[in-house]
Amino acid sequence: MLDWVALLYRCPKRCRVELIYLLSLLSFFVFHVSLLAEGVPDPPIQGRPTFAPYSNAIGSFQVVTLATPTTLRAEDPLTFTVRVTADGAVLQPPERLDLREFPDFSELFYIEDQADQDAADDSSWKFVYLLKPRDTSVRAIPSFPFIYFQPGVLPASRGYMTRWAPSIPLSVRPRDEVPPGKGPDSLAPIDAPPTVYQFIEERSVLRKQQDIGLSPIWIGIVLVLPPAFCAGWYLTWLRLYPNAARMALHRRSKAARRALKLLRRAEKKTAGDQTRQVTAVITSYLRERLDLPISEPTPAEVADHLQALHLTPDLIERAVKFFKEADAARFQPSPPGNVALTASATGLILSLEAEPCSPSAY
Amino acid sequence: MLSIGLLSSLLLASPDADAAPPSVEGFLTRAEQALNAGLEARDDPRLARAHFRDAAHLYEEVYRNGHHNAACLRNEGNAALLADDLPGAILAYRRGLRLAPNDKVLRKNLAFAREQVDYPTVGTMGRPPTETWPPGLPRPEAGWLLISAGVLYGLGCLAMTRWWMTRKTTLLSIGLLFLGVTAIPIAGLVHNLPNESHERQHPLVVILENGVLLRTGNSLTYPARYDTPLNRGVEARLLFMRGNWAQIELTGGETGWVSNDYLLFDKR
Repeated sequence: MLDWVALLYRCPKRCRVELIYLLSLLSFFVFHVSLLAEGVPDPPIQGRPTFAPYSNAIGSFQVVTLATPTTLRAEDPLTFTVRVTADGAVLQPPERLDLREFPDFSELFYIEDQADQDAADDSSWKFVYLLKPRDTSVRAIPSFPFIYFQPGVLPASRGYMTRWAPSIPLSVRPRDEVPPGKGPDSLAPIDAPPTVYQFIEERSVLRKQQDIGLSPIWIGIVLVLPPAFCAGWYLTWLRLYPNAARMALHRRSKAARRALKLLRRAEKKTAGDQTRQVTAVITSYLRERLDLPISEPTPAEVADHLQALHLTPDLIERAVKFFKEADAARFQPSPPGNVALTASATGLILSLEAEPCSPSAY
Repeated sequence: MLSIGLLSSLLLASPDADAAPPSVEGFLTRAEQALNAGLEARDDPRLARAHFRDAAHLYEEVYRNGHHNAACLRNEGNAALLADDLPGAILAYRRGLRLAPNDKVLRKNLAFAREQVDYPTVGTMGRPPTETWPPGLPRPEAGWLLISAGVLYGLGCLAMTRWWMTRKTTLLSIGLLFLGVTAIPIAGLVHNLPNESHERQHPLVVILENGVLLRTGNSLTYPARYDTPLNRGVEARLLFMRGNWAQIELTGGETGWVSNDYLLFDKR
């Protein structure tokens, strides 16, 4: 240190200013390099001010504030912006201050944070608040301290610095007077819509309106009642119309359904065509349902096949009878109307479908 | 023996011993008289308000005696509104709309009552939910949805049964169509179910006074959770009760504790 002083003393007067400037630059450089080498210093607890919250900022900072509007009514909102700017290197940025921790603020204002409007870059930080003056006694947004830590000061406990944000004068007017007709001593809803004066008369007011909620009883009734009714209907129908029921049952057989449909169509044809079609339908049905191997069977072949399937003698007899009648009708010179043959064919199909040991089981 | 004799003599001597309890018809007649008196006394606001207040209380008595209907609640709400009892009017209209969601007059009057509430100028804190239901479209009521579902389901079952009897494919199509359409009211019911359940668990409350702060705990020693005070007529849902304090939730999800003295409860 003494060497530096001796050097300053010895050098010519015109060089002293330049030398001092160079020394300053050197010390600034050495200081920051040493900080970078050491990392962010840990501010000591000792010496930290207790009269206001610490911003956790480390560096050197300036604070400015802005309020808009500054003329307003009591309880109306104003936007209060606190802008912190760094003077040099920033080792730790400032944190958002809670203005409620400043008694002056919490006594004078309702405070709402608008943190979503905050902004920051490398060297400046903007914090936004919404303040509402509690009453007309509020004359200004008070000054408040911004406390930060400046490293490099010895001893370190003296490194805490305070910048005071300036106070901002406000003009707070009382809220508007309640207009006549809306005050407590007048009939308040005098401008109410006519529907407010519409009262309903006795009969409707004494009605008991059920609030039908989703009670399990109602849900149960809705779920169970229709199927129960339908089941009853079906059973009654079965009892009242057994043939219809039987037919419906047999129509479930696809082959039978198709055969019955073709038989109904065959009724519209001429006698010769009708006989041929009815025989073909029954043969096809037997081939499909009972695996009859012959495409144009004789009555005897049909009987043999059905006997092999252990069908009842009555059914076999009906089938044989049908094929005999069909042969007779086909080979007569002038065949009569074959309504009986069609009915016989329909009856044969229904009987086969009604067989207790259903042909479909084979 | 002596005590029995004393008791019987007291009962006999009581002037109200043979007086019949006031009937619902009696409440209603008095309510209508109070209404007429209020309308006639419009030049004297204080007197008119007193009459309307009486009418509102009497309609509430009619309602409490089991006559649950939207007409009674509409009259009660109108009387409360004319009596400058904004919280009472809002609560009555809300209860009425629960019974008759499609009552346009109730909805209009509720909208007017809400216009009278002094909501915070900034933000949506305390404001009622914004209406999202398309105008003109009837609102589904749980009862009607259940009836519709039942009718459609029944018709579907009938068509399917007839199809089983006759095997006509047209009936099968009709049955399936009905059963498919049944899904619409069922979907409505399922959609309403959480709301209904939430409303039953967390009944409506209305702020009675201006400047009520939501606190972080159930005592005045707790600080205010929000700086924005709530004014009379603000609607909320009751979450918990502890002593003389209630924890409430505003429409926007803000919660806090309020003394019961500042709340009007919806007692179903």
